[in-house]
Amino acid sequence: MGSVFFERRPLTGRDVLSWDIARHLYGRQLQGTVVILTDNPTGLHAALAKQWRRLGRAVQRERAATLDAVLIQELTRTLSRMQNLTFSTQSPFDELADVYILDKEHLNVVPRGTHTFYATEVMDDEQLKDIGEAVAYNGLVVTYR
Amino acid sequence: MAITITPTHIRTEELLTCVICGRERPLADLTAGLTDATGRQALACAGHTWDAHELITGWAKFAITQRQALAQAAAQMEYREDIGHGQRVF
Repeated sequence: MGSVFFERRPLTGRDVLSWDIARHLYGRQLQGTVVILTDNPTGLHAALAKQWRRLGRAVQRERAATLDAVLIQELTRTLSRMQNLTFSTQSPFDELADVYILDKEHLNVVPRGTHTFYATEVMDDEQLKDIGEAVAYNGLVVTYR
Repeated sequence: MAITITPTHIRTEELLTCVICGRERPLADLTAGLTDATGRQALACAGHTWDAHELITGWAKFAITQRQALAQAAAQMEYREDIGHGQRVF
């Protein structure tokens, strides 16, 4: 676990969870593949997609509110990236995506190139250690407890 | 909301700088985001995720400075290549 960051974030409900993941993911979207482990992939996928679109609209508002040409260019780039980010509830063996939302059944192996792993289910230290070893160098494991 | 474990090369006892507001904070108050131009993990105050304006413009401005740093480094390398008559100087 010596090469990976671990971060603990609070868990207070499904809506708040998708909101928090969307906000955190905003800063991590450039860093390779993202995996979210949850007991309800379909539900979280729908909620996260909604929060992601909402955040996209906030970026559009920020872009419209500034006269700084460099910032406008950067926010345009960000928006394009956000709109092209793909979410999937399928196993990495079945579908290529940027963000995988999986339950324990489908998470047989952490996909290669995973830089961010969100564990929304309670995992013991041994499981977290295994995840930490599977995540790329300088990657991040976020736990919700 | 906190970073609890870091790679071994990071000294956790020191205060670390938030790349968005520049304040020095303990590791417990920081969250991980983008990486900088050298590939190191950039950290920001966890509180910035609560405010959409700070989150969006903060990371965008950070990305702009890192992109400029990369462009400057690339230009310097090209300049060195010119001096070295086409030979790369590292």
